[in-house]
Amino acid sequence: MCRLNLCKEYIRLLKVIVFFLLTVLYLSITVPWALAHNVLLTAYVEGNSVFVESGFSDGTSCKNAGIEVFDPSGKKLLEGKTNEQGEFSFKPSQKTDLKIVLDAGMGHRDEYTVPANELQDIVIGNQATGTKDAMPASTTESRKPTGIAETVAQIDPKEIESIVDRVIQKRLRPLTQLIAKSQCKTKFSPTEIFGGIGYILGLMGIAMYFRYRKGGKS
Amino acid sequence: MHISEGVLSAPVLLTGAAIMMAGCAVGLKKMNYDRIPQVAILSATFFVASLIHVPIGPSSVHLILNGIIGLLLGWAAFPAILVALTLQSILFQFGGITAIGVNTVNVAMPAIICFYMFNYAVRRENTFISLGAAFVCGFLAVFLTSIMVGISLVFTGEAFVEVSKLVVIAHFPVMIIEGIMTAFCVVFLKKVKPEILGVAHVPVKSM
Repeated sequence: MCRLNLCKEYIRLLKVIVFFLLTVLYLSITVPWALAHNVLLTAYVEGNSVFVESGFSDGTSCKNAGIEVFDPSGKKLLEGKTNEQGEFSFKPSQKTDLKIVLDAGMGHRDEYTVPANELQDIVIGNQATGTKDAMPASTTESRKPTGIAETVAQIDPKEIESIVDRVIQKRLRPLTQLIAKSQCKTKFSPTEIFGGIGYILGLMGIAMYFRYRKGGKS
Repeated sequence: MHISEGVLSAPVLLTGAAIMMAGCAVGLKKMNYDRIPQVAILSATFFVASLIHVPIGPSSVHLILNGIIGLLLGWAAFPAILVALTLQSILFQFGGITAIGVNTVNVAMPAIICFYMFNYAVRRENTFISLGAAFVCGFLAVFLTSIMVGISLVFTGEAFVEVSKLVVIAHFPVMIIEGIMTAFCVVFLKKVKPEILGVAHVPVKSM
């Protein structure tokens, strides 16, 4: 008799649990996986600048958040704030690894390191513009008014290289952005969610196992 | 409520870890084997609840549900929340691994405070009293968690009043939602399964 009652109790409890799980499932399907509370930061090099993009994991941008850039020794190089789109850009002053730290307040923080080898070309380009004062853009511009024939005559491999470089970078920009965006994980798959629930139930199983082993011994 | 890796200083992290361990020890000691499924289910609830977010202004906040967890589990809330937070930080990168101690304390401590404050009021026969108490319980749990986040961030140099204000304002809608949810849960459990509310108190009474 007692057993039957217990059985009924468990069935009732089970009903409550199933109802709850269904509600959660329903919510998780209807709420379009807009998941929050995790800030993301990614950066890529383009031209002479490093572009930083930030956002919350639900896809909203991280406006007016503080950005700090450090060199490998921990010295702060510069700081700034992201704009309305959660973007920030700066010109690196040295070709070492750059650690970019985003602080969105309330304990939200992420960091991203731009490796030195990605900066190699950029810094060299930067130095060239600084020292030789022979910026490819300005030379081509200054040459525009003069005839085509002259341009063809004076063409030199270095200039071609820099022009090709610029065009390729411009063409590749959407691709770079896409890769940068896909690098930061913005969505959590149901696999992970159910996996987590599975872990918890598994822990429960282990605890129950020990309980019954103990019960068996005594 | 998830403080990321590298935000907090070492003393804060260590203090958080120490309190977390003590809380878990008490929780595991007080938790009897019959309540393991209940603890596991509420742990899973907490794990999933953090994924349901409420968009407010520039940021967005998620449900915490520590009011109802505290109410139903008492001290066992500590291990339940620790397990859920650990899985969240591993699977979703919510909060840092080193900050688990602080995050657990920030969520579990208010749960236990609310448990002691509203334990008896919620159990009362009078539906209105228990309904009101449950609402305040859910509300206050989130409020206290916001304050605790503010306290943990003070030591990193952010001004306490400013940060607390920001966190409390950001979580205000969550407080209301959780208050209502806690009230509904209590009424529902009272009707469908009053033993759950009763059972949760037995171990504490016996201590």
